[in-house]
Amino acid sequence: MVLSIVRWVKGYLRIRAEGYSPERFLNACRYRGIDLWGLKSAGGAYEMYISLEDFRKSGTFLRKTGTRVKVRRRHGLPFFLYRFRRRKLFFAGAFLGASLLYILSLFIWEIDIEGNRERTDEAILSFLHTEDIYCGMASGDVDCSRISEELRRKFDDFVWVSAAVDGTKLIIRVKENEVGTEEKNVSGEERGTDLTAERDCRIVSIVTRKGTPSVRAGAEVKKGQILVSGRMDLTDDAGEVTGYRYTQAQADITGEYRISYEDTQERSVTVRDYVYDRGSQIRQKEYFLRIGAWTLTFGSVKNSYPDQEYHTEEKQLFHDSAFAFPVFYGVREAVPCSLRKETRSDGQLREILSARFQRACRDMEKKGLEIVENDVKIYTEQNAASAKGTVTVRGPVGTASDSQILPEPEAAGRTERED
Amino acid sequence: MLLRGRMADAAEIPRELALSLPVLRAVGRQEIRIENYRGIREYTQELIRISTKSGEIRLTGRRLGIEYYTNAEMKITGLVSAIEYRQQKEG
Repeated sequence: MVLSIVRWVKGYLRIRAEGYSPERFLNACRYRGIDLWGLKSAGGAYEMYISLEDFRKSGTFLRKTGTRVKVRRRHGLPFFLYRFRRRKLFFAGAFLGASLLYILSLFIWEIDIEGNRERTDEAILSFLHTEDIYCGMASGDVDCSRISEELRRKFDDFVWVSAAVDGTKLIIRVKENEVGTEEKNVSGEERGTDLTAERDCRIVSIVTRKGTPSVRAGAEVKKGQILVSGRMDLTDDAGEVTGYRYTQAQADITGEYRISYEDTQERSVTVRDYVYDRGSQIRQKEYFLRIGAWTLTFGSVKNSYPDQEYHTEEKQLFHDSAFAFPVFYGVREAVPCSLRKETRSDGQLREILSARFQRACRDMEKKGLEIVENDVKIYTEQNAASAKGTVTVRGPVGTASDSQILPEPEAAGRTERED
Repeated sequence: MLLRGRMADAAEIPRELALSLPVLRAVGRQEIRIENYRGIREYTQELIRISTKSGEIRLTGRRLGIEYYTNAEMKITGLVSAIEYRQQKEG
């Protein structure tokens, strides 16, 4: 394949060798390192392919071997160019195309970010933009080591960053710290954190792993009250506090609290009836192409029905690539319909409200809350029905906040003694 | 010739290198590649005579063609019916 392309570019000939002993011509070619291919014996003569360059060389020994050579066909780029030498616009176009390709290859057209899980592509790209790294920049201006350095500085959870230019694509590979940010806080040795109550509740259970618990199971606590303190008192033999040590308090604290629930449903609802024509629903579609503020549409959504639903679906061209063109395309659809009021019965309202309440309960359970009790009741009125009541739930209530740093008691104690 | 052959065997050099013997590789009846040859003596669609250092090789068949003919190797395609070795009479 490669060889045939090289031959085509250099140009080759189909020649016919005739004479007393054309074999001598073949052997002379071989002796001088001239490659022949596609040999065919035809009526006492030989036809073969020879490259243009070798054909010129063969002139010297043609006479010696007593062979007459006729050129049958010419192949390849040199002959192609010669045949079309007068077509100036063709050459201008080829030159323009080649130069355009070259010029376009001087820019970065795509930024590919790999390995990021916590940080989104958008966050990284917008940061890179502030550092003057963007799609369409000259690829010569890309300083890969600077990019990786800046990224590491900006995002401290990146433990490893590499940037490389591959053609017109800037590839940024990152490795995030999977252990999390907990480790980072440890470095701030003196700063401790407490666990405080997120809301008013009754503590059901408390299991402390780190820190000093300040409440017991069964205690009623207020919002913001310290549940587990991150400060540990250091005492001497006499039981006097000599100093404090601060840690990140860690505990599983479950509290029980009430959540009020309210939901209403109107008795009359608007129902849409779609218009059918010979069994199929009437839909009017319009395809459009939008470039900036300019829109080109095919079809129309105009109709004479008073009420209708409009659906629009719009997509951006090359949306996935980092270099987004302001070209959108999509389809608009008008579905004619008529509106009417419908009244729900008590049973239907009850069904709707209880289904919604069940869904709310499921959502709470998904958040890790355990429902202990619920006294939500459904009340029906003339125009509407409502579900009202409270749900008693158990769930985690501790939230981290910075510990208050106290002055060291040791110094204070000594001064007292000296007095 | 004999001595060189024995020396080549003792030194474990392939014989085709030491004695410039022709190497033929045939793929079915359709394709033969030949190395270590001197030249073509005769070529028609039915017969190809190739001279080598140790004699002449005659390939007979139908629609014989030479796909390429270079200093190192040649490749013959077509339908080969016989490969024949003949002792060289003259150089």
